[in-house]
Amino acid sequence: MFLPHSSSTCILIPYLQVLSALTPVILHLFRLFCAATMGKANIRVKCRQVVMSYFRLAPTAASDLTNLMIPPSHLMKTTALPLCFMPGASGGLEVRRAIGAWRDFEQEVSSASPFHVN
Amino acid sequence: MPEWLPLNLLLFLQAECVLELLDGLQNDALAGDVFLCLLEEVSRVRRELNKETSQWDSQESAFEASEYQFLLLQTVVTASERLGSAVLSQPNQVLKFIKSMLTEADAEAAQLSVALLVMILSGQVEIPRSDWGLLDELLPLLETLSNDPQSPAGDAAKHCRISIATRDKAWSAKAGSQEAEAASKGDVQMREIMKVYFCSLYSCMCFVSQLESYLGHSA
Repeated sequence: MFLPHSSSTCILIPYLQVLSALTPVILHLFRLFCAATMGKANIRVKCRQVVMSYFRLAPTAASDLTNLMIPPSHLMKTTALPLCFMPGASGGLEVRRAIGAWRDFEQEVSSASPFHVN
Repeated sequence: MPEWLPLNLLLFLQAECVLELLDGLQNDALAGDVFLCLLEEVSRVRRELNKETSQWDSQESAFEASEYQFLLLQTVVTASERLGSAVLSQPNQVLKFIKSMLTEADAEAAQLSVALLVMILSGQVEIPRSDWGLLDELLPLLETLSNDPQSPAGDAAKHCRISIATRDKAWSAKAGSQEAEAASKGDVQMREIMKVYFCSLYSCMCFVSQLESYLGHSA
């Protein structure tokens, strides 16, 4: 993103560059953060930093965060690639391509063995 | 185990993650906006659920909507517990919150909202002129409440209407010396009042949502 500075030069605005790069993948980054939180993966801290940087800059942060929180039945259709993250069999995290456009929540929860609720 | 529990758990986790991000961002205004967005969604779903049974496509879609409302209320309860009284720190957010609560048909929520509005209008919190439009939006809701003979908050609602309608003269006179002092004191007081308010209101909401869910599943 550029803003006109004078007739011959343009100023690069870094935060707009960061925003435009993160916007298409923020949903997946958030899900990665959630999966890392479930399994305590090392990637969690870095992922949190990136996601937080996005929400510090995004002008639509409030509505974006709300959309991440509220249940999906009415609106949470996956954008772009339908990916889900889950703890891998040999540690770390696994990424899987979901079947269809909707997330398979039961599969995600049943795969999340470290997360128990009695 | 109910069928919807796995979804419930995953959403609980997502809500927890968003709340953790909000904690890290340390931006009360943003947290307040998120909270208000959630309340707007609650109101929207309530309105949808109040439709006549015949307006639903099927019984399943009505059930899905009530299940959705239950999950949504759980999210709101979790958010209010985690974010606490600091969540609505700006006057415009408190006024939007009051509007949202007054729109609900629930008598107790209306009474608590009017009590909060009385506190704000008493001058303990400075309301910037840019937010006066939000006060105007409350007038029709307060009028409905004050015309309801069954409502225990009727008299208070009437006083609030008068106070809002005459604010130009009354508040301009107070402007200046009192405002700076009131703003600093009011902020602390408002947070304390909000803390009590949240606890009582959301305990009620939590109870009602659990009851609705229980009745829905046992029917």
